[in-house]
Amino acid sequence: MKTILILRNIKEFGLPLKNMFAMFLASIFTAIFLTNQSAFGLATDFNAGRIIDDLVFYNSKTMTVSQIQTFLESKVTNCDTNHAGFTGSTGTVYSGPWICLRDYYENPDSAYDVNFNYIDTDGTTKTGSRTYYNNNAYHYDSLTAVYPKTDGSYDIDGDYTKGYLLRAVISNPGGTQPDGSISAAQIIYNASQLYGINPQVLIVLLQKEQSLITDTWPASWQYQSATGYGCPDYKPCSASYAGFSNQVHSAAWQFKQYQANPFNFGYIPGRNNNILWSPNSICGSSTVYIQNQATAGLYNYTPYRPNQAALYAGYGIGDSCSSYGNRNFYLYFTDWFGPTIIGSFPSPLYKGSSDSIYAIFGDTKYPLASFDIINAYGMIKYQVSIVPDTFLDTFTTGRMISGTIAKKQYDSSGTLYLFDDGKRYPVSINACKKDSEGNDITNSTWSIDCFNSDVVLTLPNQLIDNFTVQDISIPNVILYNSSAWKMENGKKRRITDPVFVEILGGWSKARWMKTVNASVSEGQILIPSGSLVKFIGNNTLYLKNDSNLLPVTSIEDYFAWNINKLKTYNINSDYNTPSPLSISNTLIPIVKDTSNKYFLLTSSGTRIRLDDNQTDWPTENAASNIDFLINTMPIESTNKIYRSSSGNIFVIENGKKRIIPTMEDFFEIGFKTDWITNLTKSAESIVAYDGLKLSKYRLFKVNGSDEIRYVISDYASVKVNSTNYPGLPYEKLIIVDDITGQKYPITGAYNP
Amino acid sequence: MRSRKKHISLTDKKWRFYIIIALMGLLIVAAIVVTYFILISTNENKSENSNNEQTTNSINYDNATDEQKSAGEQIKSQGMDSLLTENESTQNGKKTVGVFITDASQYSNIVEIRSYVNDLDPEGICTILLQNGSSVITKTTTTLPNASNSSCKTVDIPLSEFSNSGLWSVKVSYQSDSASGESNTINLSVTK
Repeated sequence: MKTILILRNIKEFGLPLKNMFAMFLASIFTAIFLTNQSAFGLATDFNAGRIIDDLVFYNSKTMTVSQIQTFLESKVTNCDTNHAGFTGSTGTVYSGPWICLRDYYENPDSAYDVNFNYIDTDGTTKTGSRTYYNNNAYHYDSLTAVYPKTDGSYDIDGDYTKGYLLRAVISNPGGTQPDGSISAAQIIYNASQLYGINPQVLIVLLQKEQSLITDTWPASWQYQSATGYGCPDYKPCSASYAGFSNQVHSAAWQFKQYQANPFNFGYIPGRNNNILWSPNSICGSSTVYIQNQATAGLYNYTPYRPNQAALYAGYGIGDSCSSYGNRNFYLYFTDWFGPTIIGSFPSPLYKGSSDSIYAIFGDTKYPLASFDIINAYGMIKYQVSIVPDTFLDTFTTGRMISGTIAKKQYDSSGTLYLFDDGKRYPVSINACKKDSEGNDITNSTWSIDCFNSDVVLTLPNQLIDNFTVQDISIPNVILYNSSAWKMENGKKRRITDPVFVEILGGWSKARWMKTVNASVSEGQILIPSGSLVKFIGNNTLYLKNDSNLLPVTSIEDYFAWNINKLKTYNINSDYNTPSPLSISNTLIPIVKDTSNKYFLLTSSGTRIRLDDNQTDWPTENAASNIDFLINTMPIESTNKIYRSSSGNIFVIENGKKRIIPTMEDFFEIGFKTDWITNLTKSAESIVAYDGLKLSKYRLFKVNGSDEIRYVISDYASVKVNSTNYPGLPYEKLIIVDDITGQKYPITGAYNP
Repeated sequence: MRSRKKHISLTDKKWRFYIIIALMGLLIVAAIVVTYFILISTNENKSENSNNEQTTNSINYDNATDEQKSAGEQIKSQGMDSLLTENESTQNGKKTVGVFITDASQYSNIVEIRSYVNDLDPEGICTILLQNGSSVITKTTTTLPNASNSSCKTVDIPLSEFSNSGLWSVKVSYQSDSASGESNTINLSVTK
């Protein structure tokens, strides 16, 4: 009562009670509506240019046969076998019993004879038999079939070229399965494996074309045109493709054709494409940039783009210009199997719960060894998509990509490439270690083991073509770590002079390389022959020949032989550490040219040809491979009387020097000054001392002895017993060393 | 009278105002509670759905939703109609079929013409006609079957075959033993 009063008072107050409840309910429904709008059925994420990714579309390993069967059973828990018939728009009456896809069997490989009862045009039931090719073959023994004719009557004999079985009556439910028949799940699976198509794609196709997945009472004609293959708009389907297995295989085959010959068809990826909104061409078309092959395939299969009204309608009806095939494909797929778009297009990079990053192509995932490898193959700029391990598990694990040498899986030329920083460099034979017959390649640049499958990866064409840009043939000169390097026998040699780069093809043929390729070991530093080298922090000056460093220890030689005119390279000594240049003997005045002729270098910058059989000068330490130096020196002859810059005049006897102590001896011996050949001190230093060469009639004493001796020949002396013999030049007596004394043995006493 | 007046005063505007406010508050609370439970329920579904959406290659073994079944029913009825209905015009004894140009563009040194025809005759021939003033280029190409139509095999025309730059008209026509048709004319800009 009180409540009534209150309610009445409310009414009296002016607030209409009904309106309040209406508001209350409206607020609830509004909440429900808004919630539903955001949760279900909208295809607002539908991307016309990327309906589904290739990775999803062509992943044939997403479901097993049993999973497909379980899925089919989950969508039709109760098959409405005895559902009431209906009358179609043409007036045709359709009636059950009906066979659901989950229960469907068919012999796809051979013709199948079916005996059936049929209703004749006079209404009587008759028995017939016909052969079905890839046709419905329910797991029941017999069928009753009626075929329509265009005039509305039934074709009982089966003008089967039309391909329509409008009514199938099960006369023996639960009968035995026909010989050789397989389930719909198996048929779907087989087609997916045969053509490399995701079985989920085929399942969705069956639903979007004929609703066979959810239909609890499918008519036989739905099986006949299960995937809509061979079914032009506004026109009956082709009998050639009728039958469930035929339809599933034809559809899968067709999608494979699109993938195998992408550029032959009306819609292709990587291009702008005009796509009609609906079969009604009055509705017009729009331009869509199709991003991938799978999407192009869907448009080739169903050439209409759903308009906004269709997309906002969920599974429902849009407007008169709406088309639903591709929208429904998207909706069914996402509702049943998850996203159609995986990762960040066009990134091929995926990662599961482990640290491994994979590049996925086709049905294979390739583990990538490092970020350097990812960079080498041009994928560093792409996002790595985190995906469940279950997704990764559906891909076969390919070989780990750990090297940068690879070739395409399909390439008749068999070209090998070196990959670096997103570029691919065709490998020429001179970059290989061996040729195809196993012979060593001389002067190989990169020394790549080109015919070793452990070294050369075979990778999908897309991995190579889509992410790397082809560049020049593999470079001989690389740029790395702020330096230029020459590749030689698999090592890199630091270039000290740009002239090398020019010789090796110029800067245009040099390429920056990343560590993954440039981290090969260092060879010897590359310094031009005929130059001088000085390592910073080391005072020694070296003359560089082809392969060695020759220490130049004499400043006199440096100037005398025009070494000072050679270019000097001041090199960081660290550069010579990894693979040091060999240091040969110190540069001496005895040199050998490339034709094995020996020369003595003079202090005048000339050279003296040494006889091949000479024994005067030691040749075992002769400097070689310095023709660049000696070839500029004039050749002169010699009288074999030498004067070094120390002032010593000497001759060579038996490979040792005999110094002439005074000019008086020099002239007394019979020499002339213009016979003298001037040498540097280094020349004198390489021959051992073998005493003074004294002139005849020279008085001398051996150091430490009071005995006076008198030279009587080149090889003898006599003892002088008096200091007063007339005629003897006592004032020119010299003190000599023991060696000299031994050269002039005493043969008697002086007899005045 | 006084008493009545007092009673009246209790139910008078102020009193009635409090009651109404309280009732409205109750209604609002009730609405919030109901909405909350609806949202919770919905969010659970949404969360499930969302999880499905975010989980790659997850297979949804739930029963088909009413929406999905209903959409299937629509497909079924549409499919049946299209299977049974012949809806073709004829011309000179041949069926007239639609021809549609999917792309006519210049790509670097080639001009690419792609199209399809609403027919599935493997013997059909597509003819591409390009015209600029008196300059005419004609190309023919075979067809490749799709599921519900046939692609005219892509035609690539080297730029060298074009006499001049400018706007060229493009039309694709189709002929088979039983059908014919032609596309709308579109314009193509050619730059040599």
